[in-house]
Amino acid sequence: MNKIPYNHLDLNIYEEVLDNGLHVYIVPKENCNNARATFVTRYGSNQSEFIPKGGKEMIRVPDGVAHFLEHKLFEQKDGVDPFSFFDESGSECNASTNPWQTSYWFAGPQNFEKNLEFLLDFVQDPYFTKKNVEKEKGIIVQELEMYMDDPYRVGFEKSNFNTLQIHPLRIRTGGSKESVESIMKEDLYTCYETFYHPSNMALVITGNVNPQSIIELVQKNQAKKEFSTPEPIIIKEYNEPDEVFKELETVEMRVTIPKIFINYKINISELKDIPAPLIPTYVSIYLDLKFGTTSIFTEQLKQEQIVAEDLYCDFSNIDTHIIISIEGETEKKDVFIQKVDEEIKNTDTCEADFIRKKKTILSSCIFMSDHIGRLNHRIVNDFVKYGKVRNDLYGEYQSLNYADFRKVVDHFSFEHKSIFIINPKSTSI
Amino acid sequence: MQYQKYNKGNYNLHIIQTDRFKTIDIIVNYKNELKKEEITIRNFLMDMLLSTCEKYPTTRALAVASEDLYNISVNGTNVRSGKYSILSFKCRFLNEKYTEVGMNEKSIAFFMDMLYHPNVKKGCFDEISFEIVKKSLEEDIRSIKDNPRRYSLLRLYEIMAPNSKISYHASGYLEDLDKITRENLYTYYQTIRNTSIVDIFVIGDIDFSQVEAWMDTYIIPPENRIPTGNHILTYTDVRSEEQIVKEQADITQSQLLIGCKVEELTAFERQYVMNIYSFILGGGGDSKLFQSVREKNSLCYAISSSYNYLNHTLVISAGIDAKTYDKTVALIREQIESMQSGEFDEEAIQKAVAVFISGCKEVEDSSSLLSNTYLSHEYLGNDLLEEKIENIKKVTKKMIVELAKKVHVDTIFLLEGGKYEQDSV
Repeated sequence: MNKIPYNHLDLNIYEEVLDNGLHVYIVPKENCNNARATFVTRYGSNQSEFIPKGGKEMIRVPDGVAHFLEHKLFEQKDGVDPFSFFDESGSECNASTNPWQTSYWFAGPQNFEKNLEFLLDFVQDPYFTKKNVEKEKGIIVQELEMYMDDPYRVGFEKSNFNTLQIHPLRIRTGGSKESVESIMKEDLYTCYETFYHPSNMALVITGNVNPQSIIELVQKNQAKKEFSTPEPIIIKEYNEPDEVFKELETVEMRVTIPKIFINYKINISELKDIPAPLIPTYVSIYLDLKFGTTSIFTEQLKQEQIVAEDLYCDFSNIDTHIIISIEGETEKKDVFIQKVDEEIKNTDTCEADFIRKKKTILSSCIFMSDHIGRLNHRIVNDFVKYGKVRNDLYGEYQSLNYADFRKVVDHFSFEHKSIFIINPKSTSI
Repeated sequence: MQYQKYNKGNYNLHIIQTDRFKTIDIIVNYKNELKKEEITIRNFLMDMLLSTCEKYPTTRALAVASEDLYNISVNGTNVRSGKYSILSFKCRFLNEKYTEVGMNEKSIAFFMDMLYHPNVKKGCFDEISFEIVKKSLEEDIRSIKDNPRRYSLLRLYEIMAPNSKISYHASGYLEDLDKITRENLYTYYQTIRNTSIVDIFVIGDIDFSQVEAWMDTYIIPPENRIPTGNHILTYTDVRSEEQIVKEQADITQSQLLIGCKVEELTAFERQYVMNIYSFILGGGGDSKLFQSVREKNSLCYAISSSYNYLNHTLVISAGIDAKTYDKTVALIREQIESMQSGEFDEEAIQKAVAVFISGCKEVEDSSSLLSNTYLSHEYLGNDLLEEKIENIKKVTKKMIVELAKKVHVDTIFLLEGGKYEQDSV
C-alpha cells in the first residue's frame, strides 16, 4: 500500500491496486467521528454504445440503463434490503448515476468494517429477474416525472439535448418513459458484466478509519469472489460537430418569471499545451470573472433591473468540446441574451482579478479538506475523469498562471450557441 | 472539545473550542417573536445587510473584499422556531494557521462591519442596493408556485391551520413589501439590534480569552436584555373530520401531502419518542411508507414523513400519479393506523435508535450542527449530546404506541397534475 501525502491539507492518501484491478483510496481523518465509503464504476449514461463483454459488435442499449441498474442493485437475492442493513448501525446509504459514473455509498460513525463488506457484496452480487425489473419501472417513471416539473432540470437537460448532435451527453441520464419501459433484465446483465468489473471501479474511503485493517478486509473480501480476466472496454467514440443541434427552442411551464438557458459549445481539441485537469479550472475562473458576484456586468444587470438574482454559470465537457451554460431569470429576454453574448465575447481580463480568484480557489481546496463527504466526492471524480487521485491538488492550483489562463481564453470561440427559454404558461393555473 | 458560555450583560457569548476544523465560524442570532407583518421586512433587512455595508457600498465591492479575505463567507437565514423567528448571520473563514497571521481578527472585523455599519446615510438605507434587494424579494414572493413541492406544503399549512403561525409564508407578502421604505427599514434595523434576544457563537481552534477580547471589542450589545418565552405551538382544535382539498395545476406529477396535528407532547416525547415514531413510519428506505407505497406497490419514487416538534405537526409527502390517489392514501392510512396498533417490532426501534445515535455523533463533525445543539439547549432546554445518546435508549414500544394515538390526520392536500400535455425530451 502506498502512502502519499495529500499536500498542504494535513492528510495522507493510502493507495492500493488489487490483483483484480480494483483501485482503493483511503484518506484517514482522525479528528472526526464519521467515515464514508464510495464504490464507483466508470459507467454512466454516456456509455450507451460499446462492445459488450465477450462480444464483437458495437451495441446500443436503451437510454437510462445505467440508472436503472443502479436502482436494481439494491435488490438482493436473499432479501436483505441494503437500506435496512445500513439502518441497523444508524448509517446512511444511497447511490447516484450521472453521465460519467455510477456510485454507491454509505456513511456513518458506527460499524464501518461490516458496512464496507456489505457494500462490496451488494454491488458485486446482481440479482435481476423479469418480475423485479418490471416492478422498478413504475418507481423510475415517477422519478422522471418529478424531474419534469423542475424547470432548472428541464432547462439543463433540454439545453444539452439541443447543443450536442450525437454525443450521448445529450440524453437524459434517466432516459425517457418509453426507453425505461423497454428495458429488459438482459440489458442490465450486459451492462453489468461489461462495466462492473473491479478493474473499472474504485473504492474511496474517507474519515475515521484504520487504513491497514481496511485494506486487509477489502483484499480478503475480493479474494473470495471470482472475476473474469480484465479486458479493455471499447466504447464508441463520437465525432461531435462544432455546430449545435438546435439554436433556439421555447417551451411553456409553470414558472412565474421566464428562465433562459444559454449554452456555448466550444471546441477544445486543439488546446494541447495546458494540463488537461486545469482547463476546467481556467474556464470556471473566466465565468466567475465575467458573470460572478464580483463582475461589473452582473452589477449592471441588477441595477438596470434586467435580472434580480445572480446568474448561474456552469460547464461540462466531452473529449472534444466544452459546453458553457449560463442561466438567468428575466422578463427582458432579448436584452438579456444580447448582453450575455456581448459580455462573454469580450475577453478582456485583468491579472489582479485573476490572482484574487486563484486565492479563492486555493482557499476552497482547504475548506474542502475539512469535509469527508466533499473530499470523498473529489477523489471519486478525479478517479473517474483521470484514472488517478490528484494528491497535489493544492500544488496544481498554485501553478495556475495568467499566461496559461490567457491561452485558454484566447482559444475560445463563442460562435456556436443554443438558447432554451421557459416561458410562463399562457393560461396557467 | 470545550464549551463555555459567557453572560455578557445583554447578550450571551458561547465559545466552542475544538481542533476538528480548519475554519472558524461566528454565528450571531437575533431572536424575536414571529409576527406575520414582520416576515417581509425581516427578510429585507437580512438581504440588505448581506449585500452591502458602509465600507463596501456595492455588492461587488463586498464580494471583492470577501475574496481578498481568503474567500470568507457570510450568509444569513430567518429560521422559524415555533412562536419565534431567529435571524441568524453566519460567517466562516479559514483559521489563520492556514492563511497568514492577523487574518482572524481582520475576518471578524469584516463580519462586524456588515452587521453594525450598514450602508446608511441620514437614517436611510442606500437607494441603489435597496432597489436591487426589493426586486429580488418581489420575484421570490411572486415565484411561490414555481416549486410544486414547496407550494403544496405552504397550501397544506394554510388549509390545516389558517391564521396560525405555521400558515405564514416564509418568503413574505407583496403587500408588506410595498410598505417598506429606506427609512422604516433602518428603524426596523435599530429595533432588531436593540430589542432582540442575542446569542453569539464562536467555533474553532481558538483561544477562549482571545475570542472574548475580540468580541468585547467588536460586538455592540443590545440596549436591554430581553427575557425569552416558550417556543412551542399547540392546537386545541383537533378536527373530528378530515379535510380533503384538491387543487389543479399544470404539472406532470401530482404532489400528495397529508398533514397531521399532534396532541401536546412532553419534553421527552418531543425530543425522543417523536423521532423514533417518524423514523419507523417514514424516515428512510426501510420505513413503513417507503416499503409499502414504493417497494411493494411501485406507486412513487419519493415518500417520507417529517415532523416539527415545536409546531406539533407531522407531514407525509409523496410525488404520485393522480390516478393512484385513492390507493396511495389508503396505503398511507394503513401505515399510520399500524403505528397505533403497534405493528412494528423491537428491531425497528433499535434501528431508529442507532440512526439517532449516529446523528448525535455526526454533530461533532459539523460546526453548524454543534452550534444548533447548544442553541436548542439554550432556547428550548433540549438535552446535550451525551444525555441524548443515553435518553434515546429509554424509548419503549409502549411510548411509541401512546404517541401514535396522539397523531391525527387533519388535512389531505393534492396538487393535481398530469392532465395537461407535457413536453418531453
